Amino acid sequence: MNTVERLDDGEVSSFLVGELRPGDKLDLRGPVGGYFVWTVDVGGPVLLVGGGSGVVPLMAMLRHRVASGDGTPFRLLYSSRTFEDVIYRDELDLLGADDGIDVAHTLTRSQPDGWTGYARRIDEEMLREVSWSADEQPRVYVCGPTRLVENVASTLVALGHDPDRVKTERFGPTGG
Amino acid sequence: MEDADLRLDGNAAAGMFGEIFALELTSARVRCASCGAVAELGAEPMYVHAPGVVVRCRHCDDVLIVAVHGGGRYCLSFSGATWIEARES
Repeated sequence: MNTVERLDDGEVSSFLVGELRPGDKLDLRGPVGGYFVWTVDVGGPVLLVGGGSGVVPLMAMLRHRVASGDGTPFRLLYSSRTFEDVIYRDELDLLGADDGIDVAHTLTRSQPDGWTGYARRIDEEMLREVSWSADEQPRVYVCGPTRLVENVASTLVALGHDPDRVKTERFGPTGG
Repeated sequence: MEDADLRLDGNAAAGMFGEIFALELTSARVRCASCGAVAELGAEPMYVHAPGVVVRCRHCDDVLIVAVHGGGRYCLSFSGATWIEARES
């Protein structure tokens, strides 16, 4: 399964979202990369922090956990601009109903009436509330735009998390 | 545009390195020739806005790896890395 977010100046994403039609044939290469990966033998608990379409590789980890019947505790903190921007909204609601999976949303730009989640950018207080403490040695995966990733990672390290347990993947409009 | 807006990490070169090398490199450990720090390539900052990609050391910011692709060839420099240790696939 593939998820594509169209970027206004993106050559590939604008083609995939705007031009590609059902029945078109594609050659796919990959998966590539072995760093930003969680498998059952890595263990946990696992904290996932995503911004925008940075949630995509984190969703792959959640799906892998469910598909493998593994019970590793997972927490996801997912930052989106608006409610409509939340990718996988229904699937995340279902996953969050699992005893071992907690899903927390923050909406940074606008919130619908009755919104009970967070309503600001991810900050230290939010990470303290959502994350396991450094003593519990969670495996952490952070994916999103560079600034979000670096802010979250440096805050977690300041809270005592081992930098080697905080894996990051940055993306930008021209990422390769 | 500020430096942070241009910075990605070694994961962004997974496709290119996958074309060139039989072993998976983003999870490989790299030792910086300048400061001796060791980190996985996926954790190192990488810049893609140069003519090629430039991977830097996350500790001292010196250049570890440069890879340029164009004109039907790859040109690679690993002079900033003392060694690279990759897992057997």
